Amino acid sequence: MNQLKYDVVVVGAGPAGMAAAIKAQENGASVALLERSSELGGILNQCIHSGFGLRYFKEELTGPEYAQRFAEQVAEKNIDVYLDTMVLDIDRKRNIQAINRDGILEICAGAVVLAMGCRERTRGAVHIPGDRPAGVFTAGLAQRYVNIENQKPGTRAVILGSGDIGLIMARRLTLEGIEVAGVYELMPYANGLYRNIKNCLDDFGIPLHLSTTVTRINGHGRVTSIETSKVDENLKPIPGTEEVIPCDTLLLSIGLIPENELSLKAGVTLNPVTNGASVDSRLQTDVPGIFACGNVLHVHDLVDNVSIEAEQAGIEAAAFAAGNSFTDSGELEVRPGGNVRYTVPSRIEPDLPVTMKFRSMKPVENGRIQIKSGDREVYTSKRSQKIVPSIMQTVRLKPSMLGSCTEPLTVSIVEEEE
Amino acid sequence: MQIVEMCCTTCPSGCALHVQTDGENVIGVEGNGCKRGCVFAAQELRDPQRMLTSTVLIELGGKQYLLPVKTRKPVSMRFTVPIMDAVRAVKISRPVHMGDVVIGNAGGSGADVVACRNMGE
Repeated sequence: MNQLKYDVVVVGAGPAGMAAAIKAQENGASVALLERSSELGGILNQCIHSGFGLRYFKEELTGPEYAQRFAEQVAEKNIDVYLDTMVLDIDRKRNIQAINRDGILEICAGAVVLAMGCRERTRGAVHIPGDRPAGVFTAGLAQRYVNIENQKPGTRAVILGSGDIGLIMARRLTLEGIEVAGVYELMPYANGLYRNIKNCLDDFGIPLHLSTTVTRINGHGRVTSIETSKVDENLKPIPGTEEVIPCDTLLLSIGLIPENELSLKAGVTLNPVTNGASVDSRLQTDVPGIFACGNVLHVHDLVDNVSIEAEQAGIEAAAFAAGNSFTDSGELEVRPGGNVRYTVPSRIEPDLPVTMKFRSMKPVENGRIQIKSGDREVYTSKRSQKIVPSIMQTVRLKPSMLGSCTEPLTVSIVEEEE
Repeated sequence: MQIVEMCCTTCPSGCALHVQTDGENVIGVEGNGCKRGCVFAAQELRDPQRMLTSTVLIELGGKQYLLPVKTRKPVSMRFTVPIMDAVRAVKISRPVHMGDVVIGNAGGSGADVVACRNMGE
């Protein structure tokens, strides 16, 4: 058995893990980066489309290019990278058990950064009735087949869910000669970024059906058709609106779930809305010395925001490992207010700067962001703007704005008349 | 004069543009968060351009992989099909670096198709 000791151990080498490892090393920590796959980069390697990096690198990159830029930095630094290594267990005292070809690794970590990312929701998560044939894939799995494995998932596809991966796959399948009959979305609005609806659907004449869902899967052995139904304002299928669409493939782009099995083993408390850890201003979970960032913390729409968040986690983890005592003046709870689904962090230290991240519950044309502590106004956005759930909102708060706050913070989106 | 509604795809903000046009030229743009919105609107009316990404087959050490590739710059959508045809016809059997030209002037578009990552080193 290999006994190892590091200041900072980062679990997962996707965009979050790589950024956290780089910053932890730059801040003086000895760093191990553990990755279950055989290369760095995580899901970026299969995201061959363009549109990454506009914020972080100020240029438009594909997923593999974005990943390689970080992988090159990891290689240049004194970071111990363990590929093909699966973490089995983490305890509250930051003892990590992992396994790879060499056997079992027992790693004692000064601080841990959780960066395991997320996985896709499957058919079971939305209970689609019908037969159980082959040909039902999550969009990301189909993406892996097409972009990495060189396998064709089918010949005529229907896509359920208008999340970004589903939209991207509608274009990708079309370019590879697979017909896409349509994209169906339960909600009355699209869940992906506008640019993906335009570039992936409109450009190729692929119809987007809102307030419509898949109510049955048909086929023995292989999908032969699916049935769609329109839904009412309570999202219930409307009898009599059924339509049968012939197809051999159904892609599901119906949401992502942070992969927190290890976090739970370590005793980390999760936020029931995000399914990610409940963290403070430092991105520290409620287990001291265990930090979380990227999609394992909350699902992001832009990788650039993942990298920025993960860098903070790396810096904080290095500080914790170096023995910097976090002497905080006290914690304030952060609560989602009107039309806000969740906030990250869930609690803050008023004497630290913090980037408040949150999403709206529903789209508003003219929304103003308001942050209050009791009756005291901490922040109000200067102008109203269109706010949609698919775009994460961020507000940077300085200690001077939070100074004497003693009551919980409430983050709200207030709708205004035009 | 007419008003064309379009979504700017320059960045993830996806501004909703209200473009005033005489059918050919842009007279005015509203709704753009930055000046790139005006450039986008003019191009979109004249000849829409997109980044095109795909994969090409690469054989290394007797094994086949897919190499992600892209057009080095946005190309007119008129060239989507010719570029995809060129991409499908190519097979590489040497290690590549990110940025290496895989297909010069792909499909007659004037844009090179380049590798998006290192492979085989």
